[in-house]
Amino acid sequence: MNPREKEASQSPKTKKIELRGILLVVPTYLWLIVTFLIPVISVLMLSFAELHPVTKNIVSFPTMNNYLTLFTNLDYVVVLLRTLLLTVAVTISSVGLAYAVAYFITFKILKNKYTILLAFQAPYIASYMMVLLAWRLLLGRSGVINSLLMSMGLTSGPIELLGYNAFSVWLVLTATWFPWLILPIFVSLEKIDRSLLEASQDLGASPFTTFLKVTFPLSLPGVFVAILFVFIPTIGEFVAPAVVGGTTGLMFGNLIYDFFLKGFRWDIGSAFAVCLLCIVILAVLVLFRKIGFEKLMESL
Amino acid sequence: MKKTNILWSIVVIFAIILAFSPITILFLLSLNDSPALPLKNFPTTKWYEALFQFPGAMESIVNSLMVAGVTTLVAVVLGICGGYALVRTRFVGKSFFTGLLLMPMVVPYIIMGISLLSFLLRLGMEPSLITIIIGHILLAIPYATLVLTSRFIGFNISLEEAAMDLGADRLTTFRKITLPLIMPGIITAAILSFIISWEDVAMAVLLAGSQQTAPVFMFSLVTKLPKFVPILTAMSTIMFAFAIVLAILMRKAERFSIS
Repeated sequence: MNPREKEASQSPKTKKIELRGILLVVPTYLWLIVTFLIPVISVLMLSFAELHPVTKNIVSFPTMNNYLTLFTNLDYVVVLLRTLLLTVAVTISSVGLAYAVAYFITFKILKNKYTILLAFQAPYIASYMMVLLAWRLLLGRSGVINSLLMSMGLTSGPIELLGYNAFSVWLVLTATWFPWLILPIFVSLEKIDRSLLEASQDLGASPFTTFLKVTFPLSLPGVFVAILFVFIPTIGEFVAPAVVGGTTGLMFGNLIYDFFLKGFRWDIGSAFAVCLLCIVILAVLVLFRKIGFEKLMESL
Repeated sequence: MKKTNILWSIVVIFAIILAFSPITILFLLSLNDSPALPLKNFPTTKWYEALFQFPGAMESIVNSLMVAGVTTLVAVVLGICGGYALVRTRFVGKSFFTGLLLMPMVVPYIIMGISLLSFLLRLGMEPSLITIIIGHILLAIPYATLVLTSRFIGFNISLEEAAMDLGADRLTTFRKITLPLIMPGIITAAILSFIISWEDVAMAVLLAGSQQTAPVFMFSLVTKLPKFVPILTAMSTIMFAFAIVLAILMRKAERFSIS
């Protein structure tokens, strides 16, 4: 209990204060319940129902058919696996790159650390869509990078890897996300007591051993926050695959999008959404267990 | 020692290129004859002129401003109420409320978007700017409330008590003491809410009807009518410039309110 709460509870006007508190949170409460909790729960229910394709009335309930559709169709399973693979790959590469930059800023730069940190956030005053548009022009079989390479005579034909495909989605998501992850990692690196590092060195550890045994474990809170930051939006991503993914880079989010906005099969789409949600919840729980909720909130 | 320095430079230069080059090249291409290299007839403003004549382009920017404006207003007001209640008062179900407040931050946009969409359609609402605003407020509420909560925590309550002891009523105290003191928090919450709405593609794409915000307009043009992409280079450059001006202005306002 923080001191202010204590004060409130000791005040003779406790009852009145409680009423005031309830009145003040009612609008936010209602908003969260009506636009978030009820819709998500109704999607959960919908995933066990069968809807009439046109009238959207419930034909049968409960049924596992929607989940069977997902797991018996090889195409869908392939997209799900690709999404998981891409998400893990993006998480590793963007957190890794952000770690390197954060480490560099913390330990190798002596002056103007914060200016450099800020500079890395600057390109993202630009909207996400603008960054995606830029990559759309850079990549592609006849995109800027390929045409540049060809005109310089470095390759004879366009490099297929730089077309619109899953690799491009990985590249673009890594490039978009890593600047956001520098800050939380930097914060936990900056917090480390420098005397610990000196002690490790004095006791004869090589710089690499010091990093592995002292620096890295102490920076883990920041790393976990960074993982959370990138993992959640990436696994539900559907915009970047639509822009630079071509036909082979589509992700699970695109399937959900199609079921709801093109195919109008809300029931099947709901089952897909619930699967995605389960994966996210699992990942969040694992991360919270690893580090503890309190510590995670501290480093946020 | 030399070797590790070279390695570090390579990694950092690679990171800088990855982060900065796309936008720089996009800007250059918006002034070029075609959205490809080599530069030809550079610089030209023809895409900017085409943008102003392109149906729906400017309209979508105005829509974006409106959506972001309303979102900011509602999210900040709800954030002040929620932040005040969380710090100053006790009420039943506080921990449930806090959990519910944080949840939208860890659920992917696609799930919140399609849930909200199917729910609103079932209620008989047509997708429009209003549905986008409803979604954006949901996205902004946790951030606005958290920012203002931390502002209220760092707030010396005796200042309010002093004002009331000196005879000010509750409203005057709020207007003259509380509001100025939490102003930096309000401005930060407003910037955050505005940026969340201004930059959002995913939620808006899911909830948009025939009226589009600027990112939705760009998304639908990129995926459906690729030959108009050069116009979008001009459009995103203008939006980028606007965002920079906004960021500087708000930075100034923040400094001003603190001093």
